[in-house]
Amino acid sequence: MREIVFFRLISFKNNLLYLIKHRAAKTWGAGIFSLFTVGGLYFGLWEGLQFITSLGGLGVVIIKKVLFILFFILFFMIAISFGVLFYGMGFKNKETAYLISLPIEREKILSYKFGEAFLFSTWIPSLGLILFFLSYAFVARVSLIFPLVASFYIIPFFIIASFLGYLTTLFLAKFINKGKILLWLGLFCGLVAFLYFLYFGNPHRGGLLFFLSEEVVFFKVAKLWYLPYSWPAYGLIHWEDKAWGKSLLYFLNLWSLAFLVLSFVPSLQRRFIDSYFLQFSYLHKKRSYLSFVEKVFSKISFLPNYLRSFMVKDVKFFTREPAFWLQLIVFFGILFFYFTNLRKFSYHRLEDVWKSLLTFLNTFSILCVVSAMSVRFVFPQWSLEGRNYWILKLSPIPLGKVFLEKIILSLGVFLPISIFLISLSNLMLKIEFLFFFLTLVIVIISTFTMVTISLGLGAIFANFKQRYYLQAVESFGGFVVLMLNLGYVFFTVFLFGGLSHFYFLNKLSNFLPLLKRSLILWMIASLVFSLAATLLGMKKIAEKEY
Amino acid sequence: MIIVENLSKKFGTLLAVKDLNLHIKKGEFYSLLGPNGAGKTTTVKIIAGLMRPTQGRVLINGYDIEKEYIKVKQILGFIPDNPFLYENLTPYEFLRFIGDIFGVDKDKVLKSIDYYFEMFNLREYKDVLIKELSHGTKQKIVYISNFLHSPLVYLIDEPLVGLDPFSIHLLKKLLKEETKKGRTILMCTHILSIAEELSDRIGILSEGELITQGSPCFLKEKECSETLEKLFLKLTQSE
Ligand SMILES: Nc1ncnc2c1ncn2[C@@H]1O[C@H](COP(=O)(O)OP(=O)(O)O)[C@@H](O)[C@H]1O
Ligand SMILES: [Mg+2]
Repeated sequence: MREIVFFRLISFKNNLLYLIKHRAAKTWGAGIFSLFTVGGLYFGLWEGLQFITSLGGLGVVIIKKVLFILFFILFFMIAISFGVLFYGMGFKNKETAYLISLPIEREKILSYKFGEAFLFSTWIPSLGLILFFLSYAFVARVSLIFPLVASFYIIPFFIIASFLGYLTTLFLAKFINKGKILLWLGLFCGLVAFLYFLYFGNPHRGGLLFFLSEEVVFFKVAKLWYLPYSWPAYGLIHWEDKAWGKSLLYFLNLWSLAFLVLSFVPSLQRRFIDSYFLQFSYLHKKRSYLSFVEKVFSKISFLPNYLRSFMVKDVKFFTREPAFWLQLIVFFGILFFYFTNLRKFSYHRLEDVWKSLLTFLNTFSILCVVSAMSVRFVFPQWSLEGRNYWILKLSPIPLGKVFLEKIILSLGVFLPISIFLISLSNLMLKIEFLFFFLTLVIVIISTFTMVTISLGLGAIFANFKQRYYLQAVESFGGFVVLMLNLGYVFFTVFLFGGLSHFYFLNKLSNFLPLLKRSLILWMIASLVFSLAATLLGMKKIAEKEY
Repeated sequence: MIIVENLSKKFGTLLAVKDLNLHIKKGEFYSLLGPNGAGKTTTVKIIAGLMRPTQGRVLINGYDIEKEYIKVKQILGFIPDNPFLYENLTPYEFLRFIGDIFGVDKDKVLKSIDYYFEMFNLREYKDVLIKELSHGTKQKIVYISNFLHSPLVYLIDEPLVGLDPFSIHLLKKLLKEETKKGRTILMCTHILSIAEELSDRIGILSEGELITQGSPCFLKEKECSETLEKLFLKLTQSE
């Protein structure tokens, strides 16, 4: 075990030395970029928190709610990241076979793989959370050891979230290999939906959950005290309120669960090894060649033949890679919760200022989902060509056209999704026409921009020698795209949300012309951004060597 | 047909190919021999346009590979040393994909697929995902994907790795037929017997430099060696 870690460190060191020696300019560039992003992120968070606290007493309440929602979403995001990485590093990796052939105990291999996936899946969230609590400590004027305290709540939280991803992967790997994944997944989703309606279906039922049912989006589920994702938020809020005893309780809860969970990690080695070998006992399952996908795409006859062929290939890749589309289900799960909560929300009873805030909060949530999805699904589009890049490079189709194909395909999927999400949520909230229209335009343009940025940067960062393509999301490139997308979303929402906020505070007289002008400028900026990313990506992808 | 002029490729400080010149005529079968790490793969990748040369240029059928690369790719067939294919497609789907992007007529594609699958005994694998196939079977799929769009020039890197004797025999025959049809083949390998059997001309590459070239008989006479093996050892060991 120590040897494996040691050799991993040596290889990391070699990589770093190679980069510094041969790609000095790029390495420095990347370093400086990281510093700036971290700085920008910190500043953005600081501004946002500052704004919320400036709202007064209600602001503090909102921050606490945000905390719950943050941990709730993070919990599942980390579980997905971990699951995907563990699947890649554990099951789809030749290193595992090599390690199994060595005289090392299988428990140790498993622990090592767990640790590896843990580090890779949590480094971005750790960074984000540290910055968040640092800026929070400044804004809320809590003591500066608060971020330090927070990290002690966050580490066990990460471990528990990872364990969820770990269990899910081990469970699913068995069915992925047996080809019965859809059946089990269907049953599982059915069960979840059944329990959900049993529990939350009737809002008038009192009892345990009644006092939690403050009718705020997400809040109900995010605050369930008996589920571990809410514990860090409870613990930290109690700590801040100087309720040391209660805070300590959550702290101990977190750590004891984390240790319990960790002690289970190696003991699942049988399950792991079985599933690992199962993937090599091939099914030789026959596929009919004129599949549904091909029939659908053959209908889009205005596109040239080769473009459709590329699309069919990409779509088939997606549908035949469970590690890829299973992630989509989690997103839809989160959205399902979001919308069921939205339904119970009485927006029309609010004052205008709050209406405006909530409109943009809703837009913000949807843009966040779209940006996370484009990082997860669009960004790796190039990396997953992987070792097959030679086929593209040798095809008599200019790579620019392949780029176009990927843009069209991604937009063809993402634009309808985002339009549907924003329209549905706006309809549920019964938002007035002006803001309905405004948020719709914002979401359409933003989706376009984020998809093209993700694809362009995906081309720039594509590494065709990577063993497992989905790792790209958790690499430096994935981090850059996530930050760019989030930065763009923050900027957009602050711009328009701010304008309308000041308008409803009666601090703006010429609202409409100002809105029009900023909308046009923002559109131009977005277009320039996506054009730059696309052109740069096209150039880079054509230059890559195989 | 293939003209390589003053080709050099640097990887950092390593000069993998040094000032290489090749003139391969139409219909010629040319083999590039050399020990591991001689720069064979690098050379074919540059000729195929998968890598950029540090210096020099490559002309195929009179087209410059850098400037008119679309025209070049239309007539180029490439068989890499490792058959990385789209793992989540079946051979049937993959081959039809290749047919589409090379603009081959649909009926012709389907006919060729049936023809070659019959020939290589691959019928049972037609609708199985490529990731479930063995190395040799994948290699055969790569060959078929090239035959499908009938290129004028074949670039082959380590042609027979992982193939069974029957397929080797078959491929030798097929490749020889292709040259008779006027197709040009550049093959690199470190297996001497195959080079000797098939090639019109052989070039020996060592540490990125072309040491000698000529027909197998000519080379043996010139260096006074009885077999190609002795010749090869003599030339590459003395370096
Ligand atoms: N992408 C690369 N980066 C750095 N060095 C490389 C790369 N590809 C090949 N080399 C080096 O170039 C030399 C020639 O390699 P190659 O052309 O693969 O040899 P072979 O004749 O065995 O096919 C080797 O020393 C190899 O290490
Ligand atoms: Mg080689």
